[in-house]
Amino acid sequence: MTTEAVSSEAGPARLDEFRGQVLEFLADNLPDGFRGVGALAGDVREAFLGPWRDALVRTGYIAPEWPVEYGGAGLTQQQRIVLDEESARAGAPLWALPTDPIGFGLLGSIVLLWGTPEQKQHFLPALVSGEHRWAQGFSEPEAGSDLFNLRTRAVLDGDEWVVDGHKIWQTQGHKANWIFLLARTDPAARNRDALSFLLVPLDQPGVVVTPIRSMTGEEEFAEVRLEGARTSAANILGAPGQGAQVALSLLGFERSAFGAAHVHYGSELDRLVVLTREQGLEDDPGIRQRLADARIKIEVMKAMSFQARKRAAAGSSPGPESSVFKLYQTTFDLTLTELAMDLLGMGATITTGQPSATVLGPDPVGTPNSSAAWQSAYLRSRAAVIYGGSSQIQRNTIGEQVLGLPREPRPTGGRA
Amino acid sequence: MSWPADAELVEDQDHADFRSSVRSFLAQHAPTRRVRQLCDDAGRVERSALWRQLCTELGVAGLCVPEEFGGQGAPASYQVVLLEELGRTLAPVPMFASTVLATTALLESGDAEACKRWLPAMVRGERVATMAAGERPHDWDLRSVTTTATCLGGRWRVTGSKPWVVDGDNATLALVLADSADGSVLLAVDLDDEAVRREVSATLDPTRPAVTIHVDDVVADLVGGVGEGRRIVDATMRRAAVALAAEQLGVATRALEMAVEQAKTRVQFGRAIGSFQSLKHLLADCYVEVEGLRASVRHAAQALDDGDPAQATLLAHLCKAVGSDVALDVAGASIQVHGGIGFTWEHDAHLYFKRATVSRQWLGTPAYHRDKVAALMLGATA
Repeated sequence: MTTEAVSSEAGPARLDEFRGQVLEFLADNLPDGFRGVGALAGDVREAFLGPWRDALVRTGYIAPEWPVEYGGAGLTQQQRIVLDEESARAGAPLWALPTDPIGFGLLGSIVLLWGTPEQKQHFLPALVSGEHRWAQGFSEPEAGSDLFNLRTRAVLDGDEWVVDGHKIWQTQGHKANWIFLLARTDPAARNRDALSFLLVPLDQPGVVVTPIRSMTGEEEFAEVRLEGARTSAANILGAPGQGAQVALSLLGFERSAFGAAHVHYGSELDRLVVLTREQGLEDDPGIRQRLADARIKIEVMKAMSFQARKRAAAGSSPGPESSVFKLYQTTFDLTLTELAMDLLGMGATITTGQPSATVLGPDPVGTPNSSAAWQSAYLRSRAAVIYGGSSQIQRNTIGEQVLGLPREPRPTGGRA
Repeated sequence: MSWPADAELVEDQDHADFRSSVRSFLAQHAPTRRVRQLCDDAGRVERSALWRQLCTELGVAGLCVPEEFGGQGAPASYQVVLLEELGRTLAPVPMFASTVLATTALLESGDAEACKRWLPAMVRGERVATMAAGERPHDWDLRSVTTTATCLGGRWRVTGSKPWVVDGDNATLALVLADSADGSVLLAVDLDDEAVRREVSATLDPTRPAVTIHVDDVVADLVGGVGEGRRIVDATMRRAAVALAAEQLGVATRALEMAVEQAKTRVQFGRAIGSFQSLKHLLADCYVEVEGLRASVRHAAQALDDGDPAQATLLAHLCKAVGSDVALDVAGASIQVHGGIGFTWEHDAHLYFKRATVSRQWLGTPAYHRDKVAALMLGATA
């Protein structure tokens, strides 16, 4: 009559043993007195991240669930969540290069799922070593949420694809040297069946990458123009015309990165409790309600993550419920960072102290309660409800794919 | 309907089997049209019969009661499943009063004599018990109890009034919190005693009867130690909060199912109304809230079973706050999606809305429970 329905191959005891291994790894590889990557100033952080990434590569923890032969650690999903949790608690980032979240979170997962043996052999080790640094090339100026309504075209010229088009909103795209993208490869086919999923080097004539400054003031993403850009005919994931299918399976990965969110947010909330005391607001009834609400929602996320872990152990792959996570998490992010601004009061209006240590998601352990850090977290939260499928798109997904509500009528030709 | 059945997906087979037997029993014996009849004045006797049947056929009252007192000794996770199903149908049975409140209080008292004396008949559904602790609308911390108890020659006598005693109309035993010269006490009062007067009120939620009990110098039996009354009630409240949140989960789940069904079938402007984004997004938001509550209730039941009091306390406050908000939001949204028909007496939507409203006040509002969480984070205010 146990309710801890984790699979037999990774029962609670084995999971505890693994947690011990992770803690040992962290103790061995983090500098003495490490207080989290958020506590490191800019240049110190840079100096830390190189050797730290090497340690992740040596252990395979940089790609926890990949098979060992491709540079991964071959962990189960439950083990991976343990690794996520403990790393988050220590303030140790699992991804060290700015392009790693795109590379490992998206490209790597999709190559494992769709790639040929040759593609896996070629692309996965190059991602691990940092030789290939990836940008995501889905969005276009006229096609944001309307993912498949795109204009970029590719034609086969001998043994190469030739790509023309304009992509935008590439997170950390200016730090990348490869891009995965959807291109229209069959002008005669219906919208969905016309698309292919191509892997294209950025460092070549005909490609111009321009950084875009976000409202935080930082260069967070880029736009990419391709004119006659070339890539090998072999650099296609799935068959020609299967691009939409490949892309959709990728979105599931993108939205299911929920494992340790509660730990990250927990450390942000700990900072807010400190800030509350510093500001003398601990008896303010409104603030108390909002802090408690935040604590409650973090526990809800933890509970949801635990349920997802059980589902995964039962062999179910992340489906549309990843939209539930994404919506819950990003909505919460808005309210938490709004609370931070209210706690800072007029202090929120000027920029002081050390800035934030992250581009996507909550700040890591060690980040100070500076107005600079909270301002960028606050502004970034406005991006999180847009990128990776806006909240409105997530609600459509939940409504249609989970609740089975009828689809909205599509305009003519839009049968995607 | 194509409900995602997420609940079943992550459940152990044992839980899923139990859920399915409870659900089919309730579908057969307590569909909502019958629930309405049972809540009529004339339905009181039939309610008792339904409860006895539920106890003898499915053992619901003894689920989490140790075997030595006639129960099955199952973990809290099973009780959570049961309450969720009862919330789905609003079956007017004294599960909460007799099993969640009174049974838990008896077990928490550690008083083996009292447990042996009362629990077996309660488990068989032959005796319905309830708990009467609070006296003021917001006083869930029990600071202002005026009911008094005295002990003379080894016999306890109690005097006072307790409002909102749930299922107090059918109960024959009430565990009454009172203050004595030597501290707070929990006393077992025979409600059929002629010095007990029951005052039946009209209730907003007809599926959950509540009465005021006036006790005038009634002889009563001590449950647990002298000075232990508040501790026992506090511990009971923690478990009750999780149980009520589980019931709120059932209320919300069923209200959402009805709304989704309506959105799929009701056609306006030539389209099913669920194809309009305004309604689709409303229902998607409801679903997200319900799934968060579902995960939280499971998590809390686990914490109760793990016997981790700090975690269980946090999660109990959490569950009650979230459960109250979600149930009311979703039950309200369900009326909205049903449109005018949803505001009619004949439609079931209001039954869920009323249960959600009453449960939200009962055992403490969301603001009360959030302040308890804040106290865990920051310390209590003066």
